[in-house]
Amino acid sequence: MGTQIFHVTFLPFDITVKVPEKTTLWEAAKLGRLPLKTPCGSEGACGECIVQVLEGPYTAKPSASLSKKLVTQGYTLACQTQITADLTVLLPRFKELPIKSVVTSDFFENSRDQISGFFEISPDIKFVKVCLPDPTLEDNYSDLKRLKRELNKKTGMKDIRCSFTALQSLAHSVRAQAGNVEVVCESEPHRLRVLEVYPKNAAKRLWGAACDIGTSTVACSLVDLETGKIQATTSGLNQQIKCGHDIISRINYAQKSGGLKELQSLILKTINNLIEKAASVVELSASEICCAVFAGNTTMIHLLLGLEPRFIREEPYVPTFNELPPFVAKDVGIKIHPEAGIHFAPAVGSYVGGDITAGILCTPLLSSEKVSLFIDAGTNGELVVGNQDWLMTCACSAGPAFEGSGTACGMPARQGAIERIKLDNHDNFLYSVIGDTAPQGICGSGLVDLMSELFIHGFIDRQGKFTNKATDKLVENEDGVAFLVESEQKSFWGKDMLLTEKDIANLIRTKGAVYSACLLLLKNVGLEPKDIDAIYIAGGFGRHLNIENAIRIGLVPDLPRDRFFYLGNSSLTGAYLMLLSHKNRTFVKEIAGKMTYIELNTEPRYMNEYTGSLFLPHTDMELFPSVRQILCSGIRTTCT
Amino acid sequence: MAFEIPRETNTGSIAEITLGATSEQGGTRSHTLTLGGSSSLPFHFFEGEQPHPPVVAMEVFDSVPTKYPEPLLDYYRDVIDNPGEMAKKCVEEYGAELISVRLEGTHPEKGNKSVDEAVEIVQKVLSSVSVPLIFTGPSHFEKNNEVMKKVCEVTAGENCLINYVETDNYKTIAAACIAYGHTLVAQSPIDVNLAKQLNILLTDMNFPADKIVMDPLTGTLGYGLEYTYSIMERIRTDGLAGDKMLAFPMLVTPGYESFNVKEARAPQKDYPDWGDLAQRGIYWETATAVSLLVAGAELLILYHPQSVEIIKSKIAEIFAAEGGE
Repeated sequence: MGTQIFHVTFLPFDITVKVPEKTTLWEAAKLGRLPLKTPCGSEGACGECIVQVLEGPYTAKPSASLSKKLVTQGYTLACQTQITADLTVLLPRFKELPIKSVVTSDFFENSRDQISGFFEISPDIKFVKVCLPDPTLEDNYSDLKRLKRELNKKTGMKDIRCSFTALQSLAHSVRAQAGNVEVVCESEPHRLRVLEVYPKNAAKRLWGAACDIGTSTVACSLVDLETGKIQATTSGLNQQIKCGHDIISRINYAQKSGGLKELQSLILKTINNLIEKAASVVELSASEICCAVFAGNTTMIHLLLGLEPRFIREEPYVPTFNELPPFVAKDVGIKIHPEAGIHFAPAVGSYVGGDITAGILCTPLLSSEKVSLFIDAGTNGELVVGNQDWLMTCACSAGPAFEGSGTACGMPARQGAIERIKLDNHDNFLYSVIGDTAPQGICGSGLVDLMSELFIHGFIDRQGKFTNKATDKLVENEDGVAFLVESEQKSFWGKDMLLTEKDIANLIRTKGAVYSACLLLLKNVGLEPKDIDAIYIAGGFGRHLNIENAIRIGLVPDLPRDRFFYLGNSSLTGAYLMLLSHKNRTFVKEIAGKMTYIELNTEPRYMNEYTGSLFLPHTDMELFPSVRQILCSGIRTTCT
Repeated sequence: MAFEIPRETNTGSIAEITLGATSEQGGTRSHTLTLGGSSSLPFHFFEGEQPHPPVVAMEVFDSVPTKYPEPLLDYYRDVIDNPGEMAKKCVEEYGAELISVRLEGTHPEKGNKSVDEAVEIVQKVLSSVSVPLIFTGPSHFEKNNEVMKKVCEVTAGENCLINYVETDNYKTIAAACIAYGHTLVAQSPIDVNLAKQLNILLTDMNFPADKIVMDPLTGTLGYGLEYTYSIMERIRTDGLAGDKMLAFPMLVTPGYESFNVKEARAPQKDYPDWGDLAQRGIYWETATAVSLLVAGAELLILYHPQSVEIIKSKIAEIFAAEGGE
């Protein structure tokens, strides 16, 4: 008898590899080029290659870094697990999870009437209820002709087009309730598109999806288009992360043979999984979603559509498009209603994308004469400064540290993430976890808190290196020394939650990139931070961002705290607004047209500003007077 | 109407740093040297004070330098393998105002001399000359820490200039300097912010601010000298404008940099157009040194006796003409 061959399917990537018996899961994952790491060299010591087996039996060597509880839930270390049957395996880091809707953030709820966009519920998708008279020998027009006749009577529209999907069920739908039908129509200025025809009382609702496609994380909201309410929001890591963490590495990956196709299929899988997961929360079939809006940076949208991204990164940095016409779902590959219209937030250029124009929609930037600043601290950081008359924008490569990538303990803001951290008087950490579970990692807002607390309490020095005071809290591992945030007994994964000096350096680079871009953008328009009336901060930090701590680490300028507003995921909120009303889709194009882009790459002062920002809070303490005061007030010894 | 020179006055001034210690001060040097103190850009006597002229040091080695071109080696042939004698020659014959002892031979990949061997050399130089001393450690973090800690200890009280610490490796040596009363070189890679950050980190660990000399890590002529120049100039203007964390005297090493590049070393037979090698090395080192003096250098470590003569006489000339007013 020869060696048996088994199939191992890795979720959520949906990648299946065929391997001979007794191969380890780690080897199988490597074969499928999945993003699993074993810094310990497959010794079963580091616990980094943890997976969850969803289906199939397996044999695994016991490992100290895996708690009993996790083992009973099917968690195992890939490098210690032998394949003896067909398996379905989940990479838990990539699991999509519902989050408490970011759209219901306090800011948006409280400021609906001050935002640049319009909060009104008048989607293009509508139910049109008509009654088709029964066909007779005299009135023997086709079902379609009779449907169009009634729709014309009701709406006055002449140009009515019926989708193939609607046609397929038309004969039965019109006969089920004596000709009484509810027609899902998409109204365009001079045209009506029939997406679906339901018999009366089919108890269907109109659904739309708003989606933010980030370089690191993707979020999706499911919206009841009749009430405008968000019924479910899901978020997960962008599966493209296996091809590189930032935009440039993705663009490079797209240059490999088959690379672009792979990236396209990974982002489609990510989006489709999230939509499906959200749909299942409201017990809905994804095919009932009749409209979708996508907001993402220019590169992400290129990759989603399978467009060559190369020229985005080559001088003079020209994308294939800035503004796109609506497409239909089946052409794009989005698994909702095949005829659903797909809309995209328009981009300003290669490095300021639809996520920013959509984001501006839900800030009050254009509602005032006063100058405000919008900061989106994503993997690619973007900033916009301006008022109702003018807008200037720039981009910087911030890195994914605040979105949960690029640090050992980082994770996106979702269930299991530590979102707030404080040190008590005995230097013990107090924290709160999203969903009140055992902590799995720390999301952006938690990392900002952690950095700030470590700095203010003197555990790290101004360049982010551990001080003597930290010695008792340090543990040593392969990466050198690391600060112990939570012990293995209390963390979800059963291993120590650590912050290394490398992680801190990463976070400092990220905050430094954002702050220096901010300073330079303001200098370019002849302004100083103090001239800014309001600062709106967006990004994947989490539900709450502690502004005081963001200032203490030098992420944002040292200004009165009441000038700051945290928006959460503004790209997603903007996409949601675009879904609700055609007016917003027109207005967002106007916003894109107003923005003047400043290229920092060619700005000689940028490097100087940047190295100055690679310090806590900054090399120039004059820029952070309130932080200096805190440091001088005694917790720290010096405050030069 | 008579022409009036426009003057720019500054709010800040450069820290005054004293090197060496006499017997009254707990050391064995015959005299001390003071750097810095200026309240104007270099040689702008019409705008402010420059109380101490820049000083010139020469360098001796713990292992025979491999990069000395023949014409330079000719000056030291009898003493090149004897740092004590070489130091003496530099001071007595060539006019060195300080001696730098470069301990690169302790580098694990460049001879791996032991700490004890380094100490022996240090003590030999200490007893052969009475000028203030500079000790330059190897470019290897662990070994640098190990060697300099001991060097600091055995030279306790001498107020030597301990060269160097950088952002990624400063704590051990800085602590040793505090403990044994030495002055420290804070080296950073040609960047204003990084220079300032290191100085903040040092003072944050309570390192005395009157014991820091900065090395902005200069390049030689043809190897980024212009960039170096503008960074030094910016460091100096920021320092004079009141930024205390940039207001330290600067150390530069035109000798080491110049005799490291082929323009100052390649024989004339290989490059007939380049002219006489013996002169070329002096020109290269001198051109670099003069530029850095104008950019704000207060302490120069030179290699060629003739460069030393030229630079010293130029400094004296400028000070005699302008400073004596």
